[in-house]
Parts: sequence; structure tokens; C-alpha cells
Amino acid sequence: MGNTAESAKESVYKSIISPVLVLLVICVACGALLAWLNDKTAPLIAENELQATQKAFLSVLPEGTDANGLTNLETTTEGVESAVRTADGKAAVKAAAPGYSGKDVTVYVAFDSDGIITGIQVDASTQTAGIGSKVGASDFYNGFLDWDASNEVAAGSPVDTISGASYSSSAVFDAVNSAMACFNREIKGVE
Amino acid sequence: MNEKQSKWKVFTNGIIKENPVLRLVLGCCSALAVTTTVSGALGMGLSMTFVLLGSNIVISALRKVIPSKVHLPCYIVIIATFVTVVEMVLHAYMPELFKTLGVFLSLIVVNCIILGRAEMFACKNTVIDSALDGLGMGVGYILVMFLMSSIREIIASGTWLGIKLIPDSVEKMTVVGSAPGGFFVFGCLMALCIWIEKKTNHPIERKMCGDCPGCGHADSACSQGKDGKGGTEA
Repeated sequence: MGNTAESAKESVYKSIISPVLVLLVICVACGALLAWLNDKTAPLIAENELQATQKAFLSVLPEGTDANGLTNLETTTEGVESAVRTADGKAAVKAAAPGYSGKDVTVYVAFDSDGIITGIQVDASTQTAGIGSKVGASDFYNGFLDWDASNEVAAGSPVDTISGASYSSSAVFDAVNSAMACFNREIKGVE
Repeated sequence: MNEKQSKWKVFTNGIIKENPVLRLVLGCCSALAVTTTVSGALGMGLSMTFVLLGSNIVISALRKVIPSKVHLPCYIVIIATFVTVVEMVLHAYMPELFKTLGVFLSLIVVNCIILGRAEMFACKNTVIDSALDGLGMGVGYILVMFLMSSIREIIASGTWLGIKLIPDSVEKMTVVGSAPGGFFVFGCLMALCIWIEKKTNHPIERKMCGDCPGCGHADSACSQGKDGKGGTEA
């Protein structure tokens, strides 16, 4: 009788308690390891992202712009991720809009103090290589240069949609419009 | 000497005889997806090898502790931990590569090569053998990734590791860089692998694994392998 009870106990341990315990221990150990690593890498990751954005802003702003002279601006415009302003009133805006298959096309647009586009870059790495990625080529996006931010851009003005890549192209138009809206509403004339 | 030979066999197994991608036809998803550039493919191969090596070692070290009832959840937790480690480290130190690999880095968790090796090998072999197996499989995977990505990058973008090989005036075959092109290259490499095997008149002897209890995947992979077609029907 006692023997049966003991073996029943053992089988309960084997079939229920031990699997749960082992899995629990493994999960806790893995969780602890990842928490520790996350602590180490999170600041580095944030730093990297900040630097990448900063670099992109500097590449569209006029040459010789001082990286330390940039002020980060709070923005609430839809589609705009971040914006900076230089001491002399120039500004650069990072905006994104969904392109082909919903993946974001990111643009960096620089404005002078009157709202004329002085520099632009398009990151179309999320789009189909060879088709949508063509919107990331300078002969497409350089057409936006000298455009006045008081007018919205659309297909045909100032540049034509790339044939076969209408989704990616319209994502660029949308993102540039968001950037200009942000400039008009939140940067131009605001001190 | 004998011992040394068998260790060498375990290591080379994954490179030629049971090459994970071309012979076992495992892990094709990532092999097709990230082989558009050589740098991405190498990064993926190295990440994969690290995860394979780490998970094989830990799983074989814990093989007597893990109850069979929860072996899959345990393996997945261990594999996912290694993948997350790779992800965090790449994100922090190689953000460019991290961006290129994108979602396929996280998808290593469910890559059949890793779970397959855990089930077929690490769960019943010593730590050293499992480490060698993981390393061999990883090297085999890297080799295929390297070959595939070289072919695809050169034909589709005219570059190799970012170095321009074909002038801009020549129109590139972009289809090779897209998903269907990936399948073309994959099929050609597989055919090449079988052709070489036939040509050298050295049909590779494959182990049968009818004696693996509880490894259904291995069974089906091997039963296709032993009919001399190398599991290419899958």
C-alpha cells in the first residue's frame, strides 16, 4: 500500500513537478542573462540611432553646418519622426510614409529660413530592389530641390512618378508633404 | 587516431555529406531571403553559426536534465535566448548589418537547422561532439550562403561585397535578386551538388536514423536522403 503511494508520488513528481521546475529554471536563467545584456546594449543602441539621424540631417543641411549648433525640436505632425533647427533658422525634418507593402520610406528634408527645400535624401531600402528602390536615387529626389514649402507636392509637380514604382513614389510625395507641413506649422516663424 | 577521425567526421558531416541547405533542405527561408548581398549573407551565416554552436552546446550539456515532456519548450527558450543575444549585440555594434538582416535575424529562432540539430544530434551526443556538429553545420550553411549570395549579387546588382564588377552601362538581371531568382539559384546549386556527387562516382552513404526515438523530422529527412536523391524532393 505504502509502496504504491510512494510510486504514485514519484510519478507525480516526474510527470508534473520536474518538467515545470526545469522549464522554470531555464526560463529564469535565460531571462536574467537577457536582462543583463539589454542593460549593457540599450544605451549603445539609442546612441547609434541618434548618431545616424544626426548624420543624415547634416548630409542634407548646407555644407559646413555645425553639428553642435543643432537644436532638437518637439514635433507632433503626423508622419514626422524628428526635426532639428540650426541657429540661423534653417531646419531639417525626418519624415516617413508607408510605401510598397506598407513598409516605410524615410525622407530627410532641409529647408532654408524661407521654406525653400535646400537638400533632400530618400532612404528607400525597405522597397523592392531594382523597382521601388529607384526613388532612393538622386536623379529622382533632386527634383524636389528649390521647391517652396507653401505648396504641396504631388505626382508631376515637381517630379514625375517613377513608372512601375507608384507606391514607393507616392510614399516620397506623402513624406515630403508631412515634412513641409511640419515646417510650416511648427518651425517657420516659431522662435 | 580513431577518435580523432570520428571527430573530424562529425565536423565535416555538416559541410558536405549532410549540408543543411543543399542536402537536408533545411533553413531555406533565410537562405533565399538574405542572399541578395554577400555581406548580408555572411552576417547571417555567422549569426546562425553562433546560435547553432551555442544552442548545441547548452542543449547537449542539459540533455540529461531536460525531461522529455518539455524538451521542445526548453530548446526553444534556449535557442531564442541565443538569438536575442545576437540581435542585441548586432544592433548595438553593427547597426548596418542589423538593418540588412531585418526580421530574418529574429526568425533564426524557428530556423529548422537549429531545432533539427538539437533534435537529431545534440540531444543524444556529448558536448564536444555537439559543438563540432554545430560548427560543421554552421560552416556548411555559410558556404552555401556565400556561394548563393555571390552569384545573386554579381548578376543582379553587378557588385560583389560592394565592389563594382559590372559597369552601369550593362543592364542587370534584377530577377536574380528577387524571390523567384533565389529559387533559380537554389535549384541550380542543388543540381550542381548532385551532379558532382554522381560525377565523382562517389555516392555518399547516408546513415539511416530509424533508431532515433521521438525525432519525426529526422526520420523523414533521412528517408528521402537514402534513396539517393538527397532529399531534394522536399
